[in-house]
Amino acid sequence: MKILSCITRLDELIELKKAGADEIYFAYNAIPNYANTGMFYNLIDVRKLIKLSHNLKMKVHLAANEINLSDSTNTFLTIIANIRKIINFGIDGIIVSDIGLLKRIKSEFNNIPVHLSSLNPVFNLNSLKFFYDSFKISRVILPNQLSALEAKNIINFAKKNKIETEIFFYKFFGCPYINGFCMMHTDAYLKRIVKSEDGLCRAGLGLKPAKIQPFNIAKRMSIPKELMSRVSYRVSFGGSPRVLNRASFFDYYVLGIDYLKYGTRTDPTEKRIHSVKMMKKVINLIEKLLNKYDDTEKAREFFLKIDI
Amino acid sequence: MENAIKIDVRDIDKKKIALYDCIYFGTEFCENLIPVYEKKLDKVFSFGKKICILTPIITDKGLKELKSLFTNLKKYDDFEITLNDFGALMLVKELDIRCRLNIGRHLSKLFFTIKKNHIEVNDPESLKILNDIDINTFEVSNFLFSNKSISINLNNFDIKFNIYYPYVLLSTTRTCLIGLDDISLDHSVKSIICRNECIYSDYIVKTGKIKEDLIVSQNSTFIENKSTILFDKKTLLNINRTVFCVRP
Repeated sequence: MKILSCITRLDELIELKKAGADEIYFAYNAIPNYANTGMFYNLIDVRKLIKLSHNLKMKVHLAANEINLSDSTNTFLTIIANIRKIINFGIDGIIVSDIGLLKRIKSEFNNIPVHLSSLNPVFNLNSLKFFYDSFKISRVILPNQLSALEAKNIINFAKKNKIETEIFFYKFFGCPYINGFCMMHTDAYLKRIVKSEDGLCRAGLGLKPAKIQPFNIAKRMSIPKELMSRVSYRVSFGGSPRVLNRASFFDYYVLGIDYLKYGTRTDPTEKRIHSVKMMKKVINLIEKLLNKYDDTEKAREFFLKIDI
Repeated sequence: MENAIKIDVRDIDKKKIALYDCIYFGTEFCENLIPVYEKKLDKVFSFGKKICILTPIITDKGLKELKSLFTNLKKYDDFEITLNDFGALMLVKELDIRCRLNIGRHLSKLFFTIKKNHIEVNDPESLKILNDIDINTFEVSNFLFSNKSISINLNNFDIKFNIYYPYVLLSTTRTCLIGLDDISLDHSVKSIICRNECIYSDYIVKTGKIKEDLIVSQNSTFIENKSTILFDKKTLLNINRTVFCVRP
């Protein structure tokens, strides 16, 4: 399993390599990207980044994964022109979520590998087949809300058809709300009383849960008490149960996921380096355990006992 | 413009249905409820109305169950299918089901962005891809909150909207906000074991962060749009159908 990390500054590159990153990806401000943050602002730096990465034998990819391409000061022609420039610098792949952009890229630059972003999530085998048949994607980034055992058929198909697979690291990611389809951080319809970065997925205030009240109650049924407190907790403090956990991560490793992603471009450099080091440590630990024990279940048992 | 009703599977009200042109039936958000709706297909089709079958985001488990429902569906006439997953689209083609296909509220977010006063097309090329396979109807929540809300003229695009009201979909989780035990760090889930606890009730969430109440139903969160601006003919452009939701 290799590590892919986001990069937001040139001077992070060597430290990321030392920390254990095998590949990097970046965003460029003139190409719409999700969250629109931690970007490079001039093509000179982008060119330098690609050259330096290749000198260090690291692949480098471009994030062009914004869903709403119209929400940009650049026209589609400009976006494609900028992508062309970056491809000519020698980029190794492009991360895309919009199917229109996928189509444009494949028709203009057929040889460039395209990675399907988790913002256009693949939850089942048919969905992967759709994207593979329609756009010949080279890599799929699986959503946080899919467990390893649920993804088994997807991973097997991917291996057979030489599609690389990528997941997020469970310790830093794992939001239960389906990314790409979530409006819990938007104010499009709302009048805020308290400005909060947490979004409405944490409807509680501090330690105080939100008040809940049942309605549309089914006829002749009474609501179990534990259900009310469960709903109250979940809506107040971050949502429903997470399937991408430690155990699922181990299973993803055993099933042969190719890449582990670190993708928070808003994090400061120090935190990013530290996180990549931790990811490398965990991968090494699993490798060690699998080499030590012939039995995968035993390796798993030990992995789950270790405090990470 | 057609008027449809999205019915509550717990209580299929014949009198309410009679007032509408079309019935929306199915699980829009959660694959665990697919079998629940499949059992009631006969009853719903017995009303003699046009039916639109709603389908959710699906894993491979849901794909199997949806295959069973779609196979069952083939014996009926006069239905449409609303899709929220590209895998479900592949399944429709695989089973050679010939019917009108709509892009549902989840999937529509990949094609349109709702802003405060209008709706934006994310990428015209994406719409063209769907147009080429005869899909040109998109389903969205009613985003018209006030007289200041303007729907953008989308006459340059060959598309139609089906608009759901009064509940506006904000977000969906895969595991349930209501049912399902917590999952420990040491448990690698093979599939979600659902006890259909969402059947009891929906929930209003009062939070000190916003003036509006949130509404939680099954695995999704909504707010209610009480505005009647939807029915002002001057603001209606490209609208094919309104869909009244008995329950979120």
